[in-house]
Amino acid sequence: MPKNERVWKFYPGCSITEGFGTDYQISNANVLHELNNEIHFLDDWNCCGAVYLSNYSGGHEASVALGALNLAKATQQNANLFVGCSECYRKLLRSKYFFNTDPKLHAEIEDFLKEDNMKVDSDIEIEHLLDYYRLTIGLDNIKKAIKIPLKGIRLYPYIGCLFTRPNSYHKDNKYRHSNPEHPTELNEFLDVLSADVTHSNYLTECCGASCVLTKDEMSNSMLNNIFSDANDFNADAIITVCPMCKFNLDSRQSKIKLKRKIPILQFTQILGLAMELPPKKLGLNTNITTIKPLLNKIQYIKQVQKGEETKYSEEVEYD
Amino acid sequence: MISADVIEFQKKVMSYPNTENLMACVNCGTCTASCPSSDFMSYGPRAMIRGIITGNIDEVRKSEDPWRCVQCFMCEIKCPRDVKPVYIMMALKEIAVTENKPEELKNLVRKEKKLLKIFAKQIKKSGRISEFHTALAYKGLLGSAKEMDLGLDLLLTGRIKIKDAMKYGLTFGQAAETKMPNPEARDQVRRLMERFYTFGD
Amino acid sequence: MIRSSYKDKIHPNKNIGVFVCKCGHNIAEYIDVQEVVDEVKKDEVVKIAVFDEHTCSLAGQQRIKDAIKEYNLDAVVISACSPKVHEGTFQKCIKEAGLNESMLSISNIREQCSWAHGHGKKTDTAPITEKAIDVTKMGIERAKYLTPLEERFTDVVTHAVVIGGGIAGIQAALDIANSGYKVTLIEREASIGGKMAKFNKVFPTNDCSACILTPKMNEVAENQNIRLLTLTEVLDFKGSIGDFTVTVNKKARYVTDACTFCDTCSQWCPIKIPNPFNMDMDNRKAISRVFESAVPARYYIEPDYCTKLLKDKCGACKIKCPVDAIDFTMQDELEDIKAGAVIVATGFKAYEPINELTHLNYGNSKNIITLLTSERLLAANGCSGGELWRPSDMTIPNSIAFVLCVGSRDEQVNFEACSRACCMATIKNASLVKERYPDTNIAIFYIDIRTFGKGYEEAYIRAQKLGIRFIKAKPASVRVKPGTESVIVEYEDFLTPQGMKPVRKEEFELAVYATGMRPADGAVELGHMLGLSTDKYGFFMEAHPKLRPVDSTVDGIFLAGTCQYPKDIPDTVAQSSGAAAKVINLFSKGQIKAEPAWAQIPKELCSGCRTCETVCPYNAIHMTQENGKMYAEVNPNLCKACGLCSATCPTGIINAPSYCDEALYAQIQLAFR
Repeated sequence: MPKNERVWKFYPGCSITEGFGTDYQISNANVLHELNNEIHFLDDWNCCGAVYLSNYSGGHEASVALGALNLAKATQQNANLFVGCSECYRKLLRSKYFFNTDPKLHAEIEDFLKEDNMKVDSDIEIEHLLDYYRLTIGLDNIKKAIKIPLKGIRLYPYIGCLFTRPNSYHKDNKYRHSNPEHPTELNEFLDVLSADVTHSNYLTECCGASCVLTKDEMSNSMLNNIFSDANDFNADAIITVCPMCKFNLDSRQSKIKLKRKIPILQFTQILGLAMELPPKKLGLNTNITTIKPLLNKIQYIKQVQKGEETKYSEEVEYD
Repeated sequence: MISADVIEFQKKVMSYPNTENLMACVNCGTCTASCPSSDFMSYGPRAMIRGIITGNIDEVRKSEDPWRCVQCFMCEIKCPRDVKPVYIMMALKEIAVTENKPEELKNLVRKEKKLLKIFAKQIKKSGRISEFHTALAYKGLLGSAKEMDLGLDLLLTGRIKIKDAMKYGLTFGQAAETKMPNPEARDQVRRLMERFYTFGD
Repeated sequence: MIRSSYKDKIHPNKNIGVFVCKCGHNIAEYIDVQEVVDEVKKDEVVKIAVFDEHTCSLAGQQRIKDAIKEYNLDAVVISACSPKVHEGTFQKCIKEAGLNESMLSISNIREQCSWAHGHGKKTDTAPITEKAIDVTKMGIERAKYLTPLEERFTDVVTHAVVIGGGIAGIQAALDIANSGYKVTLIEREASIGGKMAKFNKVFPTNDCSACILTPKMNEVAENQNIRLLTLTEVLDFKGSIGDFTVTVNKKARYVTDACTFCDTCSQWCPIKIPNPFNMDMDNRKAISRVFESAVPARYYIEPDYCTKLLKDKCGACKIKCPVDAIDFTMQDELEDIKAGAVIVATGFKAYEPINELTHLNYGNSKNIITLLTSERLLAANGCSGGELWRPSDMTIPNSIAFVLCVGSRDEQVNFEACSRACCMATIKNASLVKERYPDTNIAIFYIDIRTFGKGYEEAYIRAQKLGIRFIKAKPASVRVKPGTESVIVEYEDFLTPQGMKPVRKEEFELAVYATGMRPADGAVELGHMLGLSTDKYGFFMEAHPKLRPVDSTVDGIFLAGTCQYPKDIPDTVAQSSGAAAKVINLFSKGQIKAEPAWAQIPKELCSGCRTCETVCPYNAIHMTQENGKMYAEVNPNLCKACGLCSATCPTGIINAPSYCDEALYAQIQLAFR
């Protein structure tokens, strides 16, 4: 079948499906439904290898092979992949990169896949969910679906370290054009919501999610940097694109001393709010750090925009 | 006089991928200053590289610093000489685990191996992983109890259902495992892991 | 036919001498020269074959001269380095021994054999030697058919064109003009002066830049031998050494020579535009001067903004001008300028880390500026009247971070070179600020301080004694502090003693980036037009990095200043004077030796098909008519004897001497025997 007839399929990953990132998937599904976009999942997807199977300690071959197996399944189902989790995204790109550049590993993996009559098309496209929204759905279509332009809401973009790096994996990725340190993708997306996007000094710094189990003091110091920067910019919310970043930022605010707690939202969730979806449909009820101040502010803006006489109220219904 | 050991060690480090520019370091400190975990390192990436070049390889071998690297690749994109310190840290880690095995790092390596084993076992068994299970299995019952407040938060917000939590608790987290629904596909992942994964056993 | 008969033709030269060079280790390390000599001796025409340590040495040349006389040689084969290096040497040598200069064939066994296959690595020498033997034998085949050619000379147009009116161009033009030759100085902007006119003071002595530059600019204006063309760009370029044609576009200035520089027009002009001379920090009018000591001392109108020119509205300047110097009817003019030599002095532009090096956040804060901007802030004729403001709120900063090596010595932006002037320029500006405001906290972040020139180290020591902190670190990030418009610099100091904390965050109220030099806008395009080679950064290549640093890769075109490589002002001026001396040298001879070989077309055999006319890359062939018959004629002054016409001529009658068909076929036959 010609390659341009490939369909886009969603590779969810463990974290979104069953782990700490379920709210991401709930909001994604509901927002996509609202945008008249059906999600097709990649059938029989398996774990990408995650952070722990990495370049060292014998994990290199296994993690490339696990990713290649997913790509083989995509080939079988004639699909391109879009990925919600930044770590899965990097791992799949990494598998593709090494599969295409390391001939020895390439041969071994092909040999393994042959047992099950599978093969990998080396040009399968892998796209992050954010890029799927921006490019495949299109910012124009998103703009049309927005009911409450978030004017005056100060959003602090935080992309995390996995989205753009290492740069070498992204070289043949046509969806990646911007800078590895200050990518503009999330800012472009948030601009469509008419929000006040603040500058972010820690846009792609690590949040420490990978070391939270083993060395949580390191994670705390990284989080502290991010939160104090967001606080300096008077952010109403921090917007993330990765389930692990989100959970880490959200759940650990009580562990570190902060001047002010800041709501953490996935980009799909803030989009859902701008599209006037009820918070429960966006999984926002599972947020650990309270998001009430943000919801109040959005409610207030909504009433102002509709010209209703109102006062800034503290109480808002969740759904 | 620089000893033969040192030269051999330098060559060994440079035999790992993306480490070939090791000796080109100009000591500008960009890597250490941009490293999010350098506050928790005793030397930092620049000093580790300096140690390899000047010959302080005993200190380098024993250092825990490579384990503090979170692989965010920030140093790689900023280095003016394209030294790629992150890959040098990975190489040092690999060398410590596979060859030197210094006493000082014994505990650390054991901890790391434990986590890796939990992971590998899960993937072999079910093809996917569960974060709850990993956390519970790694921290143990006592360790998890310290994180009680977080657990409570999770319960209160509905991210964990009460009945699931009971189940997790009673089975020490075993019940939290996520399985791939298709047994054939699961078996394929197991075969893959058996063939490609060689560490830890 | 001539082509089919080459085999039967008997070669004219029967006595040939072969001289193989060892070139120290360069050739002898990879090529067995004894074997080469033994092998070529087998040919009966070779009367003598010897090798020397250095054939180009006086002793080696004497041996050639002796051999020519002893064996009565017809032609000489030199098996050594590239003809580019020593062709002239050996031509002179055989001429002194009584042979015609053209009876020389050079086989290149250094660049094309030993260096190409063996240089720098241990390899088997046998195959390299074999190739060297083949190459030498092909040289012998060519030598067999060489014919003596007449020496030719052409006149040099004793008029020079200097492209670029910065300090490099000014110095070169003055040097040439003062030795009595005419010069045309071409400048793209409305005034000469270039980057140096923007500088406040110059290192290491911290004397005023304008005080030393302005007299030179005025000298240009007054010198009778210099024709100054401002607002002029090079459009086209033709010709060769001694006879170039430079086509320029002289843009309309809309202000005539009558202008008295009184500023009335500018005061009445309603259009405000950013002033690039002050790095866009203030405004100027659509009719303005570049700066107060501009040369030529005339105002000019920016046609992209003037409403009179765009929409035929306004015209206030024309009404108010007391001497009626405004002329809106002026048009751009094209002009061909004949020149015997050209000096390229297009200078540099300061790098700006836009969309690159994003950890430095350039462009995200007004208080992150480049070194050139700080020059304009410190200069008395700048927008701040000489106070080093913070651009955000126009207050004097209490702390300043100078960051060196931004965009140079950095593989992340593919610029590994050192920009050479930034260390000293930074030290100078930091010292000036510290002297004026002694309480300012100044830190200079460096990888290495390079104070190589005369008096530079002294300036460095003085800066340290003034209390400026030198920190050996490249900032990992310069973050914008919200609200205060300050920046936070994060760095690890290499020299921090053990036990102290090397990684630090420090807040500064102003950050100044010493950005590297890049070739000026349009320099690469100009290089293409002129046929100059450029290096990977776009700087023009010199003919030889050590021995011909002012010659470009094209004969008759010379380089001056930062268009060749980043330089400071003393080096730039030295190179400009060197380039001027080369031009004067060329002009004083009056004549240059022309290529003796040129394509010859027997007019009685020419069918007039015009094939050669279309293929000639030098426009040397033109059709002529005689007695009603068309035939092709070659202009020997333009012909380079490339042989294209000879190869394409369907009747095969065009003869390119020194590369005649017979010799080429003989060489090919030998190579593929």
